[in-house]
Amino acid sequence: MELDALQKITDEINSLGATLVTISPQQIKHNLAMQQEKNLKFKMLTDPGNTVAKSYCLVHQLPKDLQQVYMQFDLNLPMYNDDDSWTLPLTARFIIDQEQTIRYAEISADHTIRPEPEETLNALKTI
Amino acid sequence: MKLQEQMDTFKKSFVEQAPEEALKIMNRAGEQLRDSGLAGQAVKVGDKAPDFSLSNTSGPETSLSELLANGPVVLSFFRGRW
Repeated sequence: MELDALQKITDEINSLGATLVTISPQQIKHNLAMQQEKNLKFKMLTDPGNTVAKSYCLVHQLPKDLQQVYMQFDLNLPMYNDDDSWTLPLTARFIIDQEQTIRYAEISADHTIRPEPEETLNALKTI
Repeated sequence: MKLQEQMDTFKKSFVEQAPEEALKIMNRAGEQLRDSGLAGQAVKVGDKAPDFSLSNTSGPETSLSELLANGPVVLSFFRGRW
């Protein structure tokens, strides 16, 4: 859902001279499938074991009872991620300038809350 | 429709269908994650962004420093396709 919304602003991001890229722990084949299904034009990177997400301090482990709920819903994270740690990144959106400094950060402990793509675009225009 | 409105609509229909016990566990885990303060510990505006080099869906690895050579980078962390 968020990726569809980001796809809609990809051209505008590119026209501002910036690049959109996503990071998730899922295996390359799942990123590839999403890219094809949704016709996504941005780069999708795989972060095995959430190593990069850890360096951004975004990683949490799902409690045991929640792991069981996920399995009931057929969300087999160890299979999707080829990693049995049951860890996930917080959903987050950043803008990083050419000095490698973070200029915009929207991080949510609640994955059902996402910033509007327009907000990110407006922030990008000021950089 | 706004992205957050789509998210809210999806959540509402999920909550209406999901078993009560599962919802209880999900809500408790959500509260624990909020209370952990993790979101406040994450990198923030003004910090140097940690570099990375990760596999793309095609071709060689992509690094942050390579991407930054062309301009600013919008970086989105998401959980997965499921």
